[in-house]
Amino acid sequence: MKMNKRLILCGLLIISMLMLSACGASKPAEKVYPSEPIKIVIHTSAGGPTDLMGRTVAQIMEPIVGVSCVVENRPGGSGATQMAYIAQAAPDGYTLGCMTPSQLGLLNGNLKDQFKLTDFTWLSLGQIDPYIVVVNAKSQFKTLQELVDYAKANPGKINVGGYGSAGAGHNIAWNILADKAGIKVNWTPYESTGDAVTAILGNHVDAANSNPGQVAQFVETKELRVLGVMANTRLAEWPDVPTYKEAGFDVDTSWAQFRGFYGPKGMPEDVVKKLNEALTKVYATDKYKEYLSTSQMMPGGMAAKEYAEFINKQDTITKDWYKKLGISK
Amino acid sequence: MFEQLALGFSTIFQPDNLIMIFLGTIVGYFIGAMPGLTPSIGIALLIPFTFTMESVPAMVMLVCLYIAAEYGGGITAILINAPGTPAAAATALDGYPMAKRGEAGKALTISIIASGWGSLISSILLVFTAIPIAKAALNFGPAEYFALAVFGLSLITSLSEGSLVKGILGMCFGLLLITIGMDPVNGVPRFAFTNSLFGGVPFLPALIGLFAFSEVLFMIENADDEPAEVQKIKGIGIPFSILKKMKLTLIRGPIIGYAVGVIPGAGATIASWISYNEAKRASKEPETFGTGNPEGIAASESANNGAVPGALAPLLALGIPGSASAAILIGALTIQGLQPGPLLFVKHPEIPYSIFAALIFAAPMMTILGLFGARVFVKVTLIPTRILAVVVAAITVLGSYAYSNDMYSVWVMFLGGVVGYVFRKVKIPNTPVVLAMVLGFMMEVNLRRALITSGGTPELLFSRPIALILLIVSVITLIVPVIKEYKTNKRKAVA
Amino acid sequence: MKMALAELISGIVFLIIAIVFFTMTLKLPPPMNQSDLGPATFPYIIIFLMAILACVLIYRGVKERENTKQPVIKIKRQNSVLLVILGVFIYINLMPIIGYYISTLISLPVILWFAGEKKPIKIALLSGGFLLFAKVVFDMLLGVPLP
Repeated sequence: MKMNKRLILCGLLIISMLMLSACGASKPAEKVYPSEPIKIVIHTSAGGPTDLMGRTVAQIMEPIVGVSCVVENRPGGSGATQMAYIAQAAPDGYTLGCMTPSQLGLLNGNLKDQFKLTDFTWLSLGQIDPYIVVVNAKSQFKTLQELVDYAKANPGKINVGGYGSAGAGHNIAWNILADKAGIKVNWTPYESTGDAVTAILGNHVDAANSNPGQVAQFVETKELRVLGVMANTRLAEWPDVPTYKEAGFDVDTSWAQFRGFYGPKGMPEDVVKKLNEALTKVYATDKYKEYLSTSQMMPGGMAAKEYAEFINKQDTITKDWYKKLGISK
Repeated sequence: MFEQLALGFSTIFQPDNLIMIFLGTIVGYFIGAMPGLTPSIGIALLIPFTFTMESVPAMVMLVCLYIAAEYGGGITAILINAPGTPAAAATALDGYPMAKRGEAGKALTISIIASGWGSLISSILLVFTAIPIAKAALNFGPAEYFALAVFGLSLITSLSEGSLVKGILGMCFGLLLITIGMDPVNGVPRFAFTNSLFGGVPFLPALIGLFAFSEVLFMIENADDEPAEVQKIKGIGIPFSILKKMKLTLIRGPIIGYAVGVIPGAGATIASWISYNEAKRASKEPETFGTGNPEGIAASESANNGAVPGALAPLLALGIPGSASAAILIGALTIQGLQPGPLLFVKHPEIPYSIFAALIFAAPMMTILGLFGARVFVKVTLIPTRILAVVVAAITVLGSYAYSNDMYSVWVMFLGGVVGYVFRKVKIPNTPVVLAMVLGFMMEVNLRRALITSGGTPELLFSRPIALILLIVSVITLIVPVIKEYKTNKRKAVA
Repeated sequence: MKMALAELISGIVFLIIAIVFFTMTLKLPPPMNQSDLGPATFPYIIIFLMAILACVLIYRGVKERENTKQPVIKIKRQNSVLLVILGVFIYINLMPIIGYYISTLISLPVILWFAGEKKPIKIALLSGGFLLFAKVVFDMLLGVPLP
């Protein structure tokens, strides 16, 4: 009995000491960011590519920042739910959101009256998922030039499939190329990039606008052929595939499918700086690089200032094309 | 192949995999039975847990959840007319009348046996035909999808009880609802009065409203009635004599389910309606369908469970999702660092083969669990009507909120419920509204796609054999009941 | 209400819906290229079909008006039904304002009362049980964020 009592006392003593030291440690830390768990909010349900990026980054970032990083899925309204959540969150750096062109699309469409670009802090660009043009392996087109030549000779004969209606990311990407090449084709919209790939596999369209990760395996099994990449440099995995510029079409390649991070407006500068440092470290890890290469993405690596400019540019392109396509005035 | 399948079985019989199969099935039952939580939402909710798991147990759990959820939807469809999953809507047509008669136990038993049977047959089909049939499904282009949608809609002539005029009006109403939102080709908003309508009218909340919330109001009306006496489940509860009578339906259901499931974009919901209609068409007493004929339950449940392995065929063989749930499973695979696609069988054969083994093993296990469950679930019908009504109402609100985490879905559910109640009062059937909402988008977008790719001529629709056959069958489906009705009317007039 | 009158009214309502949607289709832009049907064509077909059938209903309603053998639509426990609809309506309105748990705590007992359950203990037990179910299953196990 006595033994037990002593043990309990000892235990209590140790616990109280631990608590004291913990208090002592946390007091100065109150002002130092980060000291609480960081929440990363995703606008899709778990399992999508954006969710995957969020979870990968959260996992790698945890030991770097020394606090836990939690991923939370708030799907709804193709990003509207998450945007509203981020907009009303405290700008303390503990609530971040993953973002894609969906959110920019909302800012120009659905939520035009609710939010502006300046209502958010644009933090960092995590990755770029470049657009590509892909055809069935049995197709007569071996190069982008051949496709363009044929389309020029037969206006309105070629069917190009891709995700989304007029004004969607893939459609604008195709329009940027078509505009430069001076061709007119039939855009055939699909409900997802995967559906468009299915259509090109089944030969229901002549070409498709897609992303590398979506077609990589079919390229490996020689069922599909990639004609060009909308980027400044060739992709490491496909050294033989030319960029649009190399294929003869010098287009503005700043339009890309991208994924990055953002937060509510008014985040303190030092918090933004710390987050950027942490994210830069994340992007430099082997684990992150491995994730990028297995999912066939290009590194983003833009810090806050550059990223904000990038977002502005994307916004301008979106607005331009919305006008050209007659979606908005 | 058999060698690898044997390997798959030995993998899933490892204790941790067995636990995952069991867990997946149990959670799947619940997810399915809960109106608002679909298999795809269930899979998405569980994916974060798989992040730290090994790839085989993770996939096995999610696949078992998927198939069990398709069954679970039937439980609430039968007990309270609230289809837990869209694909269980056809189950409610005969299941709920049976429950009202006090035969809930029988209805639940039939639905679990048909489900288990459907999964088993379809899984075996999957093992042998996954790769060739997935390749064949690629031939399904815009013309075929359009024809399939037309065929699906033609079913309303036989599914709209009573007046054909009212049935088609209901269909038009559903089709108009589904055109609200972004135009799929031009990207301009159509009929969107408010911002939230940009995204369109979400199907599942509307379905919950039309079926379940309108039923709540009917329950309130009848709250003073004595509930029907509940028949006890006797013995092991398998009514062999009934099953024997519907053996053709039980053969047809899983095959329809598998075939429709394989086609990307068509899935369990469409499969269950087609199977239901075929069973009704082949039946000697079609007029009993919709009034509590167990064969209707068997047709719907065997097909919607059969559709699950079907949807996995293009996923495993080609990396193409056959359904919304399969699309999320692709995400789950990617999280595991696996690339779903044509190389999955070559690079990671353990994944597809342990999924095959799990599916085959889960079918009997699911059935046994379900047979036990049926005895418990039947008790729901003992709850006094007025209390049940309010609890169901609260569940519809909670479920439609959980569907997309916003109030908009709840409003859609509420309005759908009030509209559905009024419709049922003036004898406008809700089934055509639901069917039109399932198929309307597919019909419009593929018609337009077909016309775009063929340069504006409808030639594509008639030059492709599958599309042509489907269109001819739909014309027959449309006309035969009309002629029959005309003939009986004439006979009546003569007499 | 007699069936014929109900058919007449619903015919008119459907006709109004058709007309409202028709005026909205007029504002839709033309197709983007000549092989596309454009955003308006598909709705046109549906609206046209709907309008014709609505007229059939109206015609039937007028013709059958004097028929005495027609079925009659009744709502049993009319007040209860209306009160429950109203209760759920208020409940949904309260949810985003005061949160899911509080609004359910207030509304569920009220709706139960409207539905005809008058025993306070039963009402309390049911409401509490349901809230516990929502909290444990949705919030804790599945991680659905409730408002």
